[in-house]
Amino acid sequence: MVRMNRVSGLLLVLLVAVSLSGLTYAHWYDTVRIEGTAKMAHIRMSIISYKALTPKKVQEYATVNASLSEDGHLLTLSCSNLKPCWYIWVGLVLQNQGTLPANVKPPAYEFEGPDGFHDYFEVADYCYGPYPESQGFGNLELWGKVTVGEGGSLLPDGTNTFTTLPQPGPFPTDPGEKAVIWIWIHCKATVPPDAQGLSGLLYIQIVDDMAI
Amino acid sequence: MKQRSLALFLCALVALSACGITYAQWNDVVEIHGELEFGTLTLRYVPPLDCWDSDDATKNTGVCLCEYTDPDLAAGGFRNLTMSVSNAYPGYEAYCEFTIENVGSLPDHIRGIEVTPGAGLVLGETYVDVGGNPIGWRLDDSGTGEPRLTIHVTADAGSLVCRTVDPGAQVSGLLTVLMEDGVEMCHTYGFEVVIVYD
Repeated sequence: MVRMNRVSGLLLVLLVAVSLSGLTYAHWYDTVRIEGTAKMAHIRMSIISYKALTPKKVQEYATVNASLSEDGHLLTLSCSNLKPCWYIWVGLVLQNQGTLPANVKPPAYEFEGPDGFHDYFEVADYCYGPYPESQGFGNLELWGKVTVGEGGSLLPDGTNTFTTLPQPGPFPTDPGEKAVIWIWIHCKATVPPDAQGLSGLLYIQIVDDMAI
Repeated sequence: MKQRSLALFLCALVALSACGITYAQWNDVVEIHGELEFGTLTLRYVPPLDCWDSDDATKNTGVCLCEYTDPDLAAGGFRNLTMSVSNAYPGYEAYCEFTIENVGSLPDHIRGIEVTPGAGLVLGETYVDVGGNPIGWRLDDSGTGEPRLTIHVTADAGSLVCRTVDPGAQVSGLLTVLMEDGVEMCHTYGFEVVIVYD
């Protein structure tokens, strides 16, 4: 019994000693802190307006329906009854809706249809800008009053008569700034007879590219 | 006989009185008041504080802000440094030059730096200086393990760890945050760095 009491007492003393040393150590140890947060930017070039123009001659035999994805990144053209020399001019107004400077450059093109469908097409594109956020396009030469076909501003051979010169390569836009792209998509004259009259989907995808 | 006894008694009485008076004269209480004061260990952030980033001279797209918070009203200085980066992108670097001072009365020995990644991050590789003390920490995505941020805390291009700061002395430190290529858009990353000293 006496021994038990002695052991308990010893343990108690040890416990108190350990607590005291812990307390003392804590008293002589301190910290200073750094708190950091990093919020990331986002890059987003979006199509805010578009036109898909075909001449009357093409409209007589072919139809084109265009639809824009919700995120403004993908324009889908549904084309029917394609024939040699069929062509379309697609105009896009892009806006940098991100928080970083972004490059305007030709979109990525994809063709969905029968085997070898993409081989039947050729593409030319022209990029214009940058334009300030407040820029309206109604009266702009290369948007408001464009016409397609012989004698128009957008010609069947993939050239145009705009006095505004296109940018030679990718160019940067600040957040809010806009740009215009005109794309000529042409069905080659070498389309094999069995491929004529086919229908397919053409995808025009905007490419995000940070300009820093 | 009776008279002799009386005289002896009187003598004893006088002697005792004299002793008592003498004792009373020589007996007093002297109090000594003493205070034992311990030294203090106190490292605090003090001005100057400066921050800048890698694109200040070009596009000035990213924004970096630093401030001291949690003031120590008793000892002076601040206990906390807050760095906020916004509109950051892959390759962006933010810098914060801070100052810590020993505002206590005993030398402070920096014995460690602990980095705690924020939500969605885990501690990746740790980088050390030539003395083997830590200077950098990579924070990786907790799901994919891809690098997201790399943090460096240095002083004179070396580690803060194992430095002794004497009372009144200051050390200038540099916090660098690099956004790795894998950072996700519109995402917020957090971290905490604790400088431990004794």
